[in-house]
Amino acid sequence: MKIIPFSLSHSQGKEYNTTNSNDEQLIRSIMNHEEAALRAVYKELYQKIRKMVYTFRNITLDPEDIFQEGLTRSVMNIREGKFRGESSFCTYLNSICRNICLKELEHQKTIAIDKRDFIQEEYGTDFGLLQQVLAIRGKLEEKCRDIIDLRFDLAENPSNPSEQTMTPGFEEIAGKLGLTPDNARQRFKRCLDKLKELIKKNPDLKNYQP
Amino acid sequence: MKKENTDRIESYMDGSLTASERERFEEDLKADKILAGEFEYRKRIAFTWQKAKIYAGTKKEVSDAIMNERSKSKRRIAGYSIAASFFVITFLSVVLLYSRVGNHPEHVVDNEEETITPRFKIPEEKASAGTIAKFVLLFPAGGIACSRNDSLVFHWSPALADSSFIIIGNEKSKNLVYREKLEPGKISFKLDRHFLPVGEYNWQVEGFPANEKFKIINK
Repeated sequence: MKIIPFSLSHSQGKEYNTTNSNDEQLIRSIMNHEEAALRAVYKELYQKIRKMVYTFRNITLDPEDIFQEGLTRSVMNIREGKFRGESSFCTYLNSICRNICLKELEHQKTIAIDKRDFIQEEYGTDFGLLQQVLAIRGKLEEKCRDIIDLRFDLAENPSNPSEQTMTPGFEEIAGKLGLTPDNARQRFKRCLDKLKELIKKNPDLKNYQP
Repeated sequence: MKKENTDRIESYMDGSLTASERERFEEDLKADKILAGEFEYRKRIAFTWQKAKIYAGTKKEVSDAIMNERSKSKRRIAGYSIAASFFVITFLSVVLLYSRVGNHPEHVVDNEEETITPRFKIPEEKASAGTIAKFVLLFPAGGIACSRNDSLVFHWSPALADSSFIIIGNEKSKNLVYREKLEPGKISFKLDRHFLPVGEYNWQVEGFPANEKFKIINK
């Protein structure tokens, strides 16, 4: 694996730099799924994020979990082209982690948060929704997970639900699972109903339903 | 949700409808709000499901990278600790070696010439090895008169290397008066007062030729 000597653009107590060549290199490496990039981010920015998290006195989440979640969101946004480079990567990650902290405090109801406290970044993705869907996915039987995974395998990187490519047919799915196409169709319909039922039962997903 | 709606949506999604069925379905989507709502919801679920899987994959990727970086840091710290320990042990060994030997050559400067004489501190047992110090009875000796009312302490030099016996004999009759075991390292032996009657005596430590005389008197 190629080791890239990143030096992230950040300076404490000063105005953050705009994206420079180091950040560009980092973004490219994240797009290319290079582990060295993520390791460099952890090595250089974790302590800074940790300090920021400790400024919130009542937070119950572990700084490492917040960092990990913040970095995951940043990486997803970068890969979906939502990081426009208007601030340095350090500032971007810091603001995402800060928003996670504020959301958590709001959830704990320890403080009343003014919406203006949230730093605006190009989120676009409802990560809370993704977490809920993952939790529901975990509740489904393995057979259901497998068939839904195959049927919903739309595009490699879906970015817009309105631009979906063709869904794999039941003949193809049946071949992969060793079923007849009819059985595959019946199993999928049953599993999809179960999935919809679990979504319906989840109070946090009220707005998600039709 | 109508069952036929679900079937039509799924068939439309995987492209298994004929051209005319497809056309009719698209027209129904415009006219039937319920069908349109179900279709959008089905697409939304699939999209969120896919994205949630990508999110889980990214999370694992990040978590693995952090874990690898942490274990690498731990390995690095362990390496530094081993190197530091090795350095400390080596340093202490050198210091200990020099302090034990103490072999710093001492310069003795004379008016006319400089002589360098290394001085080694030799442990006592080594210094005396091979030489036999002369065994001497120190007290009582030379026919000294000692009071019967005082306790009598016999002294000799050097200390005994092995166990032996003190022997006290009557000078006139040459009879053995007293014999007592002595432990190694002893340099003296005490007899309580009034133990020996008035008279002339000689004493020695068994194994050594030295022999001394003394008197016990009433005083």
